Amino acid sequence: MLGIFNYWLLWVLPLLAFTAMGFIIYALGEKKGKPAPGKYETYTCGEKFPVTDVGHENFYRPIKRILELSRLRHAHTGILSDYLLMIVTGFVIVLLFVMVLI
Amino acid sequence: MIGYIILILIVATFLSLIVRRDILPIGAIIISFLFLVFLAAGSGIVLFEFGGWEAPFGIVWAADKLSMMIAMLVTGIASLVAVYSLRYIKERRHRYYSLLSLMTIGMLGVSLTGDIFNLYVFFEIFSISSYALVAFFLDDYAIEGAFKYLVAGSFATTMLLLGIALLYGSAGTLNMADLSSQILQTPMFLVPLALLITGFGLKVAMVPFHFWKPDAIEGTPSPIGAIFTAVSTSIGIYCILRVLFIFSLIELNTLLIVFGVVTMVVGAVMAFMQDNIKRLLAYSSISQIGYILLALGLGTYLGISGGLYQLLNNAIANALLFLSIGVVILYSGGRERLSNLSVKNNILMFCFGIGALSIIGIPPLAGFASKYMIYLAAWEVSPPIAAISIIVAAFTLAYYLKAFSCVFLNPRGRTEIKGIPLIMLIPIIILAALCIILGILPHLGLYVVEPAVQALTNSSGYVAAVLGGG
Amino acid sequence: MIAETYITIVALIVLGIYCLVWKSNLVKKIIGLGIFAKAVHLLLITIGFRPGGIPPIVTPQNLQTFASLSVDPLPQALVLTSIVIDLSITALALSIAILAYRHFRTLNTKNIRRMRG
Repeated sequence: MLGIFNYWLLWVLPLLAFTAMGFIIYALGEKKGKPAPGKYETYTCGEKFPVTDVGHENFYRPIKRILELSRLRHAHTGILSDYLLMIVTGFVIVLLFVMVLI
Repeated sequence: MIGYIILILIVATFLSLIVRRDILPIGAIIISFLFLVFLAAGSGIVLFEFGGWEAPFGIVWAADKLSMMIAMLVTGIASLVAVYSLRYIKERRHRYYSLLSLMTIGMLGVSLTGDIFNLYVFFEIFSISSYALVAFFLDDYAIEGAFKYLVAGSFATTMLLLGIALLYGSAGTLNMADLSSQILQTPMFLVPLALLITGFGLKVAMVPFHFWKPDAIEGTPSPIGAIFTAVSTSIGIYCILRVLFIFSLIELNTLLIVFGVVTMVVGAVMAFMQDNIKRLLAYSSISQIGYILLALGLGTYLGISGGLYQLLNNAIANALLFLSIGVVILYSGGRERLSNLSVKNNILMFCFGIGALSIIGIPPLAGFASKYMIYLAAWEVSPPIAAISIIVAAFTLAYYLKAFSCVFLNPRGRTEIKGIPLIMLIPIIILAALCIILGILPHLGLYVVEPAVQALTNSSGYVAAVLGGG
Repeated sequence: MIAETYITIVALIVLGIYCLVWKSNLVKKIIGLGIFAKAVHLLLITIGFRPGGIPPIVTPQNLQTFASLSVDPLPQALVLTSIVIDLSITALALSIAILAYRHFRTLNTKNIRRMRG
């Protein structure tokens, strides 16, 4: 069964790829050096905007929007009775499975 | 012989409440781990008859290689957590340690016993001490998590007792080996079987029963989170395997596959949307449990060994993640939100990265070896399931990338962690080293896993060994 | 006699699960849990019961007829164990309910939902 681990290419290639990616990112970061002061400040019609960055909750916002993933999150209401009802439902599902399969 | 492990642990637990020495429970857990390693090196099934009564009449402990593997995992992770907690828990430490040691007693008893009511009793010991540990900090989150877990958990264990009562009513015995030889697949056994799967499924945290886990983990101390994600799910899976394989109900494999795939997807999607680091890790562990259930449900030799190997690797990597994130939370003043949790420490960054990459399944690490076996086994049975599991691995990469970049790479409001005590660092480094070693040399892990797979698939050998008397 | 006991057990289990799932007060949930557990204990006792049976104590007089007359002693031992477990769960649950009331000033579980999603 250990034979499945003997494809050395499968091990070495991703390792090399990751190392190469790491070096490329590191080299690009080194070359640019530090940005001049004021480079990140935003000017709009002469007004100064405070520096903002994307919050963690917006990290994968498009994917969440498109796949409508938050619907699943709203199913976890945090109310104990709903959770206990989920146990009872799960029990009924398991019972049906057992009855069908055996 | 194995009964004395529990005796040592019980004495240490109650003595430590009186004399208030933390070294007693820690020493007892480490001694039991070494003792189990010594026992597991021997061959065959280790039997222990309580009071000298033989198998179908008295309570018998029967430890085959599967039980040994689970017991070693339990005591190994528990001893690392116990050493780590010396600096993590600042107050009421003797109570913490006696509860931790009581929880270890429960889990050891569950994994070693051969009697189904004895299994229920130890399961309850383990559950009650874990309810108390969830509430240990006594703040709002701890109390809310504790009562949700308590009510749901005791509902499930009462269902377990109902199932055992019905099983006793229809078979007239409580010894698991005897039950498996008496079991007839009549409608009388269907309801107890469903009750048992539901009762153990809550501890596994497979999908309709998974809600308690993030809530409980958000309230607990982080080392106990390591125990919850790494070990207590393994105990649940062990119980389900005992129920399904000892009663030779291989037909139920489809149930495991369906629950495994649903658990995998729902856990990954929910982890994708979390903004609390502990909840994210909790949902991630739920998603990993799905892989194990899927692999065990495939039923082929490759699948079962992949599943048990994934159980081992998942336990190591989850414990590593929780222990390293525990240091981060401790030193940044109890903050857990990804938006304001940001630290700078190279060792922690390296160890967390190793754990995360191992869970995702990136080649040189331990998680890859087991996940590769699972993908291959799933591809043989049905290619769409293999495709789903690879897509879920991509989701895993996505949310760990988010967690890693928010915690370790965010330059704003960063606290620099200096001078982590060595006693906290050693368990983390041991676990990270295990992740790397088991990845480069998968033979070492399979050396532990293969006897367990053979013990699991050879259930008639177990029955013969237990009923034949040892 | 036995049939009525089984009907009572089923009724108690349904009542316990109803109380556990649909009542939102934490103490009522604990009461429901207790009812459910007691119904299971009653079931265990009833499984071992035999109409007109004798107590499971062996004496020199009943040595011959013991096996055919006595009730099953094992479920009684199981029930004793599980009553102790049930007691400790109830005690822990009530103490956590007291703490929950101190922290949240309510026992309505519909309002204690700080952690969700």
